[in-house]
Amino acid sequence: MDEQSIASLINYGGFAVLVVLTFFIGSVIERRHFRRIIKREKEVRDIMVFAIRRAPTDLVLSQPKLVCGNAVISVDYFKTFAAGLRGIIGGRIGSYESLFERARREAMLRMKIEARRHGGNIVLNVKFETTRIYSGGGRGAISVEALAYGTAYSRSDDGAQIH
Amino acid sequence: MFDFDRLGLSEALKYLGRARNMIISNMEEVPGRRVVQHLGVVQGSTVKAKNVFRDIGASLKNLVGGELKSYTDLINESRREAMDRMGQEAEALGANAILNVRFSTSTITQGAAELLAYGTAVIVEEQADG
Amino acid sequence: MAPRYTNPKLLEGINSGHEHPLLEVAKSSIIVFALIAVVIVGAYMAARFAAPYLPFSWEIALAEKMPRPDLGDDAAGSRTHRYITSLTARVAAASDLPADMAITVHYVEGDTVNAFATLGGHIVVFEGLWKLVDSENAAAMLIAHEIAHVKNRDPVRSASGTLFASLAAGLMFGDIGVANMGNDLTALQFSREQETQADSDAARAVFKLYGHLNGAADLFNRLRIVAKDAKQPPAFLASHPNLADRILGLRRLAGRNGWSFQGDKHKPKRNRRAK
Repeated sequence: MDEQSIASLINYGGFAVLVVLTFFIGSVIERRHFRRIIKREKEVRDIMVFAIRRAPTDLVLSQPKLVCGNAVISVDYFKTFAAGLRGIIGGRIGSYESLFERARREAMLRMKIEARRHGGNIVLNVKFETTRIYSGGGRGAISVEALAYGTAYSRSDDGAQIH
Repeated sequence: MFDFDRLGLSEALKYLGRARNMIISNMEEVPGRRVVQHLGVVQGSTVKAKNVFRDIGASLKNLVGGELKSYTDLINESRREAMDRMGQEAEALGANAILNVRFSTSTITQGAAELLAYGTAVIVEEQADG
Repeated sequence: MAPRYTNPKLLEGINSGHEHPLLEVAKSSIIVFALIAVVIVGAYMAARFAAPYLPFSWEIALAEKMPRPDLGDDAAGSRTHRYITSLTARVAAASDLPADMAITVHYVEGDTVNAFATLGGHIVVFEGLWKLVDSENAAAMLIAHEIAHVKNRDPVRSASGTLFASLAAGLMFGDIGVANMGNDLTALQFSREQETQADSDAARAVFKLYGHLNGAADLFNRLRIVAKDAKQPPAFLASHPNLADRILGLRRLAGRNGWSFQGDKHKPKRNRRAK
């Protein structure tokens, strides 16, 4: 083996190791995040969310308060690689779908938590916004910021129930 | 409506107090109140750049994935500041509520983002019939 | 009846988690590699197909762009080289070359048992192979074979196939490996069909030159003996089809065309060593 092929072996070998390693670490982090999201979502089940624009007339609502929650979630190296590969042939990038779902659910969760902090128990006209953020290492690595916002009220009407 | 340079301490406190009472909502109306005057679009925006220290952590996170807490906080903080500025604009118009508020974010370059909040400044009143 | 407001629990796994990420990567890797292969093979085939239709002047220009291969002692101007050059001129005249096709022959000293044709009408004969030539007729057959490659545009076909395949690879991977193509030009691979065609064209030229094919197969026979003795087969054999097949092919061709193997062999003027 000459010098050049050793150098390229280190180059591509290191790359392969990085992809495999970040796949495992990234999966663990993602699974734990989903577990945490599901657990915390249970805790705020009593805060109801609706994407309706007008306040229902059959609910007695308190003074409105704009609440929002956001989360910036970074891809891992494996995901960047997988997406790069997908980018050549097109089609669904499953590993990015989970990224967006994590970010959006986390944002929604935080919005609900904020609503509760302000004494609200119903959030209306919920909207989402997602922004791509270039972060850190460059080389196509991105993070996504999900923002969830809406208007929180405290409802005092037995027309609303939690199931 | 306010000349901030000539505001005294008491006025400034009053202004701050009133700003806290500003109704901010992304709905088109306030339950139990009615809009008596529309004052037009108000907006607040901030442009923020991330710093190198946050970036070091971010580079690492870009390898293994996960939340970039420092970015979340930075953006959150900046969005509050944008909302605050929007509130100041509305306050200056004499509004007591901003309705139909929206947010918009645009990344300008690799390291900077603009956060915008906008809505309609209005004056609302307690509805006579409740 | 007033609408009731509820927030039932949502089902998990609708927006993500449909396919295991590794499976997804495996699938797309396979498709990407297939695409890369198609592009490279496509470039190779297209170049090989189109190359013979390029004007010969383009081939010369391409040959000049390529780095000069390092062959060893170029015995230009030696007695043998002068002799081979004049023989080449006569064989070329008998080969019905297009008007713009000029043949340049090089003679390289050393033990390498090889001869080849490359881009731009260049033919290289090595001393090691030349020593096995014992008649002018055998020499003419050898040279005619290489001239036939040039005439059939075999070098440009092989070279541009490789060139365009590596260009396509370079465009996709970001580095272009033309730098080390110079030495590849001395070892262009021709197909069995190309070799057979060159043999048959060469036989035609040799027959035109001498009126018979006596001695034309001598070099093949000598090479067979050398190949049997040598631990490592000569370089010439590595790039050419089975010698027995070639001799047989030559005989069949002669039989079909009524070309005689009877006639006078001419003495080559080589045997005074240049050294």
